Amino acid sequence: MIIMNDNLNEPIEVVVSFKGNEIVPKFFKWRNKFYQIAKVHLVHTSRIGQQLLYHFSVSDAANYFQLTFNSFNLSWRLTAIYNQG
Amino acid sequence: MPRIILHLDMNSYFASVEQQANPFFRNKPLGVCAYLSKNGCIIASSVEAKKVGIKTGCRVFEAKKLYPKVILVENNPDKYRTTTKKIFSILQGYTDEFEPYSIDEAFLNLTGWVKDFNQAQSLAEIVRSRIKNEVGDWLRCSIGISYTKFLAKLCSDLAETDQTKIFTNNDDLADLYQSLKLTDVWGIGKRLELRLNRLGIYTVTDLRNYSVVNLIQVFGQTGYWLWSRINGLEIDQLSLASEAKSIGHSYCLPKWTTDKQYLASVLMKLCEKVGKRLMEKRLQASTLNVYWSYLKGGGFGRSFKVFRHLKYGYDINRLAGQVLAENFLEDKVQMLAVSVSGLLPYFNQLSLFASAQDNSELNEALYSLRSRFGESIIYHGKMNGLSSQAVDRIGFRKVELEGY
Repeated sequence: MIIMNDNLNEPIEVVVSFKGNEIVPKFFKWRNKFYQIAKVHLVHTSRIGQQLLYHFSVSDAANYFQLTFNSFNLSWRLTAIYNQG
Repeated sequence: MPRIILHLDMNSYFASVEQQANPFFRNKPLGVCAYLSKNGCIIASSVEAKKVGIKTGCRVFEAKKLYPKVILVENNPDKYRTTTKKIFSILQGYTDEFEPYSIDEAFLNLTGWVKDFNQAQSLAEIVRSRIKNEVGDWLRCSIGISYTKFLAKLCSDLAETDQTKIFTNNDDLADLYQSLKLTDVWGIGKRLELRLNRLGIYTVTDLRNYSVVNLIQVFGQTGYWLWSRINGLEIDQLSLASEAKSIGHSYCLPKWTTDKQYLASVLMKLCEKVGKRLMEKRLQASTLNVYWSYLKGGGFGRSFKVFRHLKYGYDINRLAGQVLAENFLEDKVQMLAVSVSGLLPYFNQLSLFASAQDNSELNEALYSLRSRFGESIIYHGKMNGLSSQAVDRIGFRKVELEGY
């Protein structure tokens, strides 16, 4: 069974590396737990007015996450999580 | 040197992008929906979903009956547009004649950029490989290569998933068309098929062999275009600059109704969206078109020129709302559409008529606020509660991508 939640908007702390002209998230901390990102599958952008948001679709061994970076206020949020329960 | 045209068509695009983003969705039946409600329509299904009978146009409740474990996601236009921009930026590196045909299709004129069709085929594989490496390894595309735009598109339609098909010899057209129905080719839908049937034309081969003089007599210029394309004559150029002839929005209502108050609110939102695009492009319009369709079939439409050109959503809604208010609804409405045409560059001509209302400063201020802070920062009270309705969607044909 797949458990999905794409109505999240929770603050997270993220460690990234800068590779060429890409930002690659490596780890993030959510609710006091650390998650190591195995792969970045897709990056897409959206706008709210002048705020440009970067959405990183990533996964670790067992879960999919969407991490969203707001380039206006430089904040990171967890905006979706999917796991096979 | 023969013309060499390449047509690229991403396979099951929206569904593939969702599977690219989330690896848990891969190899599973997945449908991308306009809405996730029971009557929501599936606008794209994965290869796996198509195998179990879940196709575009299927309703959510039908899909669940066909395959109860189907994964259904709501469509995400920003995700698809961003991915398309990355794909198109790869394609643009290979020619200066590039036409983005839709959100998931493009034409490239490779004439003069490759030596021959063999080199074009090699290029197709390079493009395919770059899309997988640089955009997403789950993304697949069918590529068609030929000497006319029409034949290149036909080749990509006939190619298998993630494969390339080349057609180079006019003498082989008979073989190419052998098993094709009329509606299998670009530009022929059900209505045109019926008209062709009345002339005794039932297959592509029949059309190819039919007298071009008779086709022109019956269909005019269109008849000549049809015949030329089918016979391998190039009459199409790549459209490099897409100047919009009209701007419009339509919306399939989640609840079918005759409630004019609700319909007026949704219509207002559609008008605001049209107005926003007019302002973004700094255009104004001389013609308004309003249409709605009924649940029982058929619909109602009005199209008229306006004395004072339309620039803002407020003006468009004032007139479109009048059309709705003044006309009787024969049945429950299932779709609303509004568009403007007769587009001209924006100019602020003052009116001679003192009584004419001018809300231009207010509208400019509203536009600035929304551009800066988002659409929800300020809106008309009638649109309250409609944030999840008439939302951003991708059109089925030519799409507007920043930079194209």
